[in-house]
Amino acid sequence: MLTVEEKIRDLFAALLQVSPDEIKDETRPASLERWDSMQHLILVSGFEEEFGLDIDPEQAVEMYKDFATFKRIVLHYLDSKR
Amino acid sequence: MAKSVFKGIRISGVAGAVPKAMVNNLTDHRFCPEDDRKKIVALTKVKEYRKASPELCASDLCQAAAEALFSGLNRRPEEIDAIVFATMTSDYRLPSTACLLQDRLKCRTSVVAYDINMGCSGFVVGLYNACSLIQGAGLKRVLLLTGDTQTKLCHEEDKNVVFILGDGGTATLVEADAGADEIVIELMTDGSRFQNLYVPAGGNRRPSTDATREVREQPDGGMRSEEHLYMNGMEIFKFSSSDVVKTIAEFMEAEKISPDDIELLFLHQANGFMNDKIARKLKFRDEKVPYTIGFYGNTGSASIPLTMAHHFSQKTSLGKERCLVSGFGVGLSWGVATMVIDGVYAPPILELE
Repeated sequence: MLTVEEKIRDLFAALLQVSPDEIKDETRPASLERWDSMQHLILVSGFEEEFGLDIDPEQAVEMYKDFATFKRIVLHYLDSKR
Repeated sequence: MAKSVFKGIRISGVAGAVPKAMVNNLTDHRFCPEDDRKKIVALTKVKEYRKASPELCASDLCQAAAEALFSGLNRRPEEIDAIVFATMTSDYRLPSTACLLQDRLKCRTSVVAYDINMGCSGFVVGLYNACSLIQGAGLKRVLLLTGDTQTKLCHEEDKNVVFILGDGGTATLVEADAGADEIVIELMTDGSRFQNLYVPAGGNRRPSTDATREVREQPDGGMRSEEHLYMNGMEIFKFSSSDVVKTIAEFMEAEKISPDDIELLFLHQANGFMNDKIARKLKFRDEKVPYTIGFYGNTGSASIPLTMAHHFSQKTSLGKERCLVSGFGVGLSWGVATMVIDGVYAPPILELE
């Protein structure tokens, strides 16, 4: 059984079409070639669709920092839904 | 605050023209993997757009639109007092293309004619100029032209822009009419962020050299030279979804209007994901927000009036509709306006070879 954090990492990797092993908390757009601005919006849109979220645009921008920030904000939205 | 109230002015006609040649985002752009193309189309909602041939200029599209307006509204070119052309893609580096259009449209030599170098805010800035010429200078009829052939500014393998930007031109007739409702316009500018959306070289600040013309993969993964259009996608997303939304929300509050008071919200057609976010933040229902981005893409200064022309040309009966309009982009420049559209003439969108 995957934890929520693992699900987030796997979906993140699947949307970017990279191996989940490449995704660490410290992974940043500058260190992962596939994570460019267009792919980032595809990521945000993909997470919104998968988890039924409506992520605020300003937080969507904040998520473009590193995977730890991305994950923290997704978790925040998931917590808010409960 | 550059907010102005204009009285006794109406928009009597709006027409659009696009190149006939179509680019399909799913089947073209083979430099990009098919799966990425599908995801980008799903995100941006731009399935296709129009691309001008090397010979076709934005002014040609605007000219055709203007001629359609004259014909449909039964107006003679001599009745036009001013031509205001908002564009980033003029025919020549100089003179103003509006001067050429005075001749091509057969308007009087006593006409006022000038270009405004603006992109996605061009319609709102242009409308501000047109209204100022009528209310301030006492003119009766202003022909507002907005159009761009942005595909000529883009490198064909820069995925940051090539899936979104298309070409189009429009003409809007703005006339004095004592019985018209108010037009309220607010304009904003922040030049400190100009480098998020610009062509870095080839102008007077950084003239063209072999080095600036060299095409190479840039740090953001886009393929282009320094003489091609550069867009910092995340900064523009941030600008559009925060600054622009804030301006529109404050404008609505100051004007004491809610989404219920507005029949139609015409946003600059930036990209589908971004526009959906903006409309949702402003609490507008989908049916109040017309889109043309799916088939014309982001046409810069033309996108708002092109969407208006498309929308109104599809309607069989036209009544009074209160519209909220917002353009935003290169500059950075943005603006918001409210107006009542009352029985506007809007012919079907023209296609030019």
